[in-house]
Amino acid sequence: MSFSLVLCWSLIRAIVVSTFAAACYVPVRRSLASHSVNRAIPWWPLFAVAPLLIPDLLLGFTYRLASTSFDFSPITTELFYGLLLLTKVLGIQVVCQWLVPPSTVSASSIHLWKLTRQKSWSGQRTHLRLLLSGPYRSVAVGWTLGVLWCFQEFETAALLQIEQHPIAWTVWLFDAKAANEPLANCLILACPAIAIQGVLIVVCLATLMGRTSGDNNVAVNTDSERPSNSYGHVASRIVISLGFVFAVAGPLLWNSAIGIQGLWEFTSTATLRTNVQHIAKSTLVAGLSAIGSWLLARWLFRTCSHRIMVAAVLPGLLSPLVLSLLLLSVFLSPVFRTLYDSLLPLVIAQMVWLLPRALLLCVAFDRRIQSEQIYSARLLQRSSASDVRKQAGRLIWVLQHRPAWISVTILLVMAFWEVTINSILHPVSMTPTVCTLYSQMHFGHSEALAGQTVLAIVFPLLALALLAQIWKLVRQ
Amino acid sequence: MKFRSLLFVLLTAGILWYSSRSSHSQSNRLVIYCAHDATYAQPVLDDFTKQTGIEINVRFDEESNKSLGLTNLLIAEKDQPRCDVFWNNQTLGTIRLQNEGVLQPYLSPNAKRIPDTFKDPHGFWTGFAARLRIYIVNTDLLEPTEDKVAQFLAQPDLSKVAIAKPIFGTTLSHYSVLAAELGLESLKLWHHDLHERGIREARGNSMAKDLVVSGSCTVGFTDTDDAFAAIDRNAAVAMVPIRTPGGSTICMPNSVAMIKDCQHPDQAKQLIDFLLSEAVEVSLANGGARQIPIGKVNADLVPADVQKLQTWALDGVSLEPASQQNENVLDWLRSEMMGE
Repeated sequence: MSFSLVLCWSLIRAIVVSTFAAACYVPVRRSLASHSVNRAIPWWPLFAVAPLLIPDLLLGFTYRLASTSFDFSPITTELFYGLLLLTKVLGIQVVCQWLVPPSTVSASSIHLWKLTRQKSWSGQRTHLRLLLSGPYRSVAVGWTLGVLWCFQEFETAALLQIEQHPIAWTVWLFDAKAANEPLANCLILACPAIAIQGVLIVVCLATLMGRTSGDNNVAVNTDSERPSNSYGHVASRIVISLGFVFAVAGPLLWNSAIGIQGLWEFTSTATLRTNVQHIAKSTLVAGLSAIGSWLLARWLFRTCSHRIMVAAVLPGLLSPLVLSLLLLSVFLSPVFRTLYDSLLPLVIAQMVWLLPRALLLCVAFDRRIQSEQIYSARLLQRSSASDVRKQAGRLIWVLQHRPAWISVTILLVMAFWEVTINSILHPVSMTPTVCTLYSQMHFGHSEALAGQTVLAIVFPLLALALLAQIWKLVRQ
Repeated sequence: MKFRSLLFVLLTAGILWYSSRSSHSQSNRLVIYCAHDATYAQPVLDDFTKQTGIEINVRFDEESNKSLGLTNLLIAEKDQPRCDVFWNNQTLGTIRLQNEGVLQPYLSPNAKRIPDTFKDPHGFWTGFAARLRIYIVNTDLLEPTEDKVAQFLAQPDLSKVAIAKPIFGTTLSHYSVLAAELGLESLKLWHHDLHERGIREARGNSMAKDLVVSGSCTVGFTDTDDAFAAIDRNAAVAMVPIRTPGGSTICMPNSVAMIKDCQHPDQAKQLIDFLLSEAVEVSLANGGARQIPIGKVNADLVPADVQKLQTWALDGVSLEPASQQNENVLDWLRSEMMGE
């Protein structure tokens, strides 16, 4: 199959999966809106977000044998892969609902526009624009990010692949490089893929940077006022339940027994210290890349024009393989050779790869939080009353620091679990945890491996949560 | 923002300082690139450190990193190598490195115990502890004999047979051996015939093995180490040797070589001597991968299931002609993939 066909296949699948996820999510979104009004715990959205926390590596290894029981029908393999992608994209929709700020376009303005009954092309276009920048703004951003996510996916596709299915351009490019295709040719081949992702990023940024309202209730009310379709509710909840079972309950149940046993064994053996050291080193490197990309994204967002911003994120849209090989050739050149066997190539590659993701998080949080709110909180901090100062400190934490910590955590997890960059660019003195896990999972299940995986999932999150708490105490 | 930037600068400086400090302190360490699986190779290397006190840094060839591979990395680093010793889990890649001028000769005294077929006469590389290409057979579905497997493979429908993608690993070596014996054109015909009859192409040997273990396939092309992984989990599978049309088996030893202009030549020689020792071959034969000793060893120390493989390995084909076909096979497979 030619690369252009593979590329089209990957894009169409990404669009189909993301569209299906958006359609499933709309009824849940209304439920989320009404839940937030009622202040109840939004269980369904939480179920939908949970699959995002399961590393692709774990998901792929859990189901790589399941896909072989489909009696080799390419359609069922593609459907199964699509379902696994869907579980992640539903989570993205929920995150977008939480992060994407509401628009100034209210339900009444859309209703008024409908009353004008403009049937012309420009009228329809304006109507669509109002919908996409109004009540469907977060769905539109979620859809675009969903397409981007599915289009970039590599690990799960590679682990499930039999008979060239699921077809994915990322896997195809990997195989071409394995078959000695020169790097320059791989770069040329990757250009259309970069262009597609570039367009998606621009659309996403444009939607995010549109005018927003400071009042979160505008969009929420727009949704909650709508009568919900009970069939839609049931259908979407069935999809979310299936997604949760597949992407969260399945891998956790499959691995939990030996994972707990493995952790227990760790506590009684000398390997615990070594493993924790390895994971801590990997966390430190991923953390450095995450913080670096976050700060760079903020700087780009605050000081650079849109064109520069888009140009800066394009290298991060190369596949991790091409990006790593490019940097490898740079650091093997005589000028940079002395830095080759250090952490620098790895950190730079991770930062470049994370930058588009960091920028999106940056824009989303920035649009959500009004500078007036932060300014008011800062004024409150100057109060002579200690209670008021404490309250102001808490407000600043919620408005400014917590979003930054959340962003850095998301970026860190991404960098920590990205396999290709880590495996190609790590220095000889440090083997990233994800590479060790990947190679060991190849040989099958063991208690020690499962324990190590649990530790690798939990440790970075605990470390960041602890640091965030310390930060919070110090800054207040 | 200023505080965060300051923190980031401090963190960066700290990590880079640590990195440079640790790479300085580790510049005295012997650097090994190891393509053999970490699970099995690490204990052997730990033993070496225990015995000699020589500290080592190992870079393993991760499964995730097949596209780059240690062979390509060594070629890229040729002008300024950081690696001292290359422990390859095959031979063809090592011969390629020899042709690229990446290796330097070292005739280890322990190499005398290795048959000439499995070593370079000038000492550029020496083989030890081998794997075999085998058919893994689901014993619930087929009797594991050479005749039965041959009959099964002669069927018009091969949808119950699995093989790994030939652009990677030992399947590529298998193809290269066939290209050397049959010629590239005949290999192409054989490959197309398998695919026309519906053979299932898995992504790796491990998955081909899993397909047979699960019963989705009856026969799979894989290696002895993958098959033993299944046998150790009590799967209903057995091994049958793959033979070339000339009747030879495909025996692929590990190989060890010293890198040209490496920084620690004396320590590198010590490690090569160690790896070529009888003790290491016996240890690898008793490990999970059951590597087959190709040098002289005390038979009592070799497990029974490996002794059976030793007799198959005696029919092993010479890999030198296959190494000359390796690039041609890869070029052809790439052009197939590109649709050229």
